[in-house]
Amino acid sequence: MSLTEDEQSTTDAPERKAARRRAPGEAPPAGRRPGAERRRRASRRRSTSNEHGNDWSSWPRYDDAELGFRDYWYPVMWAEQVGKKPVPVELLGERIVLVREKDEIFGLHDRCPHRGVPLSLGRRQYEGTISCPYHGWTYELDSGRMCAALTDGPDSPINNKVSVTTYPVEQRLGLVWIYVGDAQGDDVPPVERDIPNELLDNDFVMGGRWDIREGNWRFAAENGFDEGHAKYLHNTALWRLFKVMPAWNMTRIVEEDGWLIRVQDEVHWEAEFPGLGTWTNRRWWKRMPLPDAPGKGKRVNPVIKGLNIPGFVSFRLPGLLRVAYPEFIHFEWYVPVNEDQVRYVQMIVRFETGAKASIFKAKYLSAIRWLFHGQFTGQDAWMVDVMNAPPEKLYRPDLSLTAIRRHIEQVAPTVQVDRTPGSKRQPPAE
Amino acid sequence: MNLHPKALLRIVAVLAVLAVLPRLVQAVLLRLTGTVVRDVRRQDRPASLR
Repeated sequence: MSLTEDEQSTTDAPERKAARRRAPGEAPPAGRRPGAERRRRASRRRSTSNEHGNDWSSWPRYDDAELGFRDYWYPVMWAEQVGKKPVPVELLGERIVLVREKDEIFGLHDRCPHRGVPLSLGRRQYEGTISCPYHGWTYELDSGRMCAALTDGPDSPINNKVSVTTYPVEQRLGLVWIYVGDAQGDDVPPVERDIPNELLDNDFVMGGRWDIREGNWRFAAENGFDEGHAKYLHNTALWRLFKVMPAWNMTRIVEEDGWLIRVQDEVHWEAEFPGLGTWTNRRWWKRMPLPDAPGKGKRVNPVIKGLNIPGFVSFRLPGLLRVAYPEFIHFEWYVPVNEDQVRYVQMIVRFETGAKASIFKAKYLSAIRWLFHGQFTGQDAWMVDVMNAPPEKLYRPDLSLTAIRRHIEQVAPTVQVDRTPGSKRQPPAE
Repeated sequence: MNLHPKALLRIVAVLAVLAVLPRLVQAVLLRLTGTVVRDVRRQDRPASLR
């Protein structure tokens, strides 16, 4: 089955409406605002506050990274969604066309150098190639070389003198992964570098979905790792209907193997606010939930126990959240689309096979998909869409946010710059 | 057991629907909402990451 990104983003579930996504037909193809408007929106979010401490000037690399970081592999869609028909993808502000040739998927810059027409609108005229829909300039999928200008004859002087940038593409875990960076050939890091070890080293069953959401990827990533929000925003979620949420926690962040991990030192189930009353999420029908670490439950999956994670929620570059429970793990990737949109790839994993795996699939399709990967994360999408910072005033639990920002300054990944035609930078050299 | 041909046909039809239904539901969900469920086997890692 093949699906264009525009079809994907306009036919999704009702919770998308809650996040105030655009109406079908409101945006041009490939789900993108015109460049000028995007840049205007993005520029409002730059650190312009004069009041030090309210802006992001303490984290200049992070402040600049509205389009994300280069030299990483990013998951973009399920492998079966790329068919013979070209599929356009926007990733870190770069337009890419994905094309399947038998079992292999190729990625090319989605712009014919002739007149700037998207190759994703083109035809598969000959095996192993894609042809621009305008004048039939035909490109080899593996090299990006323009091997024939069909409307200028076999001896056209321009044949073999033009090429488009190609992108390394891999298929792992049923997902299509694209590498955006400057490394080429053997210097491109293996895709496994950017996939958590537990997803490589074990058999598992998974249920997941992806969609394009409004808001910059940094807001989505910070929201995922945000210590305080779940206790208030999500305490109305149906997913938590029968589980108590803490009133407040004392938390610290530890770093292990590239992961930032939120460790709970204190968990408070209720609090008395003088003059206001008691704040608690306890109800008679809710059961007291989890222990203070995923490996400490009554029934813990051996793989999860073996991970020995000191806290439930972890974050790592370039934008991956891991929420580990005793019996399953939820992963979510925040993949930058452009300054104003994020590709949200979410996946629940159980390290089970056989009958238990089949039961999980049924549970996922009938409930988890709609409650957790629907309404619950739809609440996050709502906040990410309406958030408008900096300026900002942070409070004690926001140490989770500043930990991400500080980590990025320390690791110093390469910041992606705007490469769209007409911007300060030119598109990738063809 | 003496089974009427029509009854046999009904049984076969029900079994066929039951066999196809899960795949049909998954195909529709993938198409409309980008949702999948699947088994994933242990992956090989390149030598440089072992």
